[in-house]
Amino acid sequence: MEVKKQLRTYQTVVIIDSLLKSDEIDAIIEKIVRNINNNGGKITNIDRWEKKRLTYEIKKRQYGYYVEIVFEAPSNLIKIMERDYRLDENILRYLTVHLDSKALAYRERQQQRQTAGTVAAKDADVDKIAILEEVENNFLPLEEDDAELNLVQESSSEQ
Amino acid sequence: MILKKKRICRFCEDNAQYIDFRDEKKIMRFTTEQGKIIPRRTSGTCAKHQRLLVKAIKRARHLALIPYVAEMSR
Repeated sequence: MEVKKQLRTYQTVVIIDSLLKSDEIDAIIEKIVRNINNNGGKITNIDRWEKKRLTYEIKKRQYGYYVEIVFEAPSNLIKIMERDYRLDENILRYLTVHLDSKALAYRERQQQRQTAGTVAAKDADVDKIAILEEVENNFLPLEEDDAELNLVQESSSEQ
Repeated sequence: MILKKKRICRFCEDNAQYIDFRDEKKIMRFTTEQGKIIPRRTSGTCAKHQRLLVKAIKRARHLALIPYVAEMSR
């Protein structure tokens, strides 16, 4: 009987040593991503939480660079992936969990809420920029006047 | 007979199906100052949500998002 390889959705959070240079961190992330893609996985989302303070020290580090990757993969990939994590000294901690239907529903709802929020924020930004431009336009001639005034003052002081 | 005011599970109130370990602020509310998990009898959380909550807390602890043991201010 043919065994169907089922893809399950997983979420993995990796804490990378934040003392590394940003391109080194990028290289580690890229390595993880390549590993997933090469082994029949499919990445749905990469979320960088950036540098965060650890609530307790791990390997004498007080800060860590958090990266969250959500991906679909056959179950044997997880084993390969976690072995690679363990071999990499710059990875302080990792957590890989299977996302069930409830978790996925929760994430989707949260994402919808977030996108709605960012759209509203963007609109507000556009308004702000428009206002700023207006303000700048109004002020520009004044600045020129100021410059002339300064020139006049300088010339008068020279005299 | 002592009548106790019945506490309502906060997660039932907003019909939560999943408790996210990334949401450290929410989770921290269900731990003591020391970082211990608050028991069901105190917080009033229902059995179903306490199970989800405990899982989330333990995952968050592993990722150093919330402390295993918080240092008390001396």
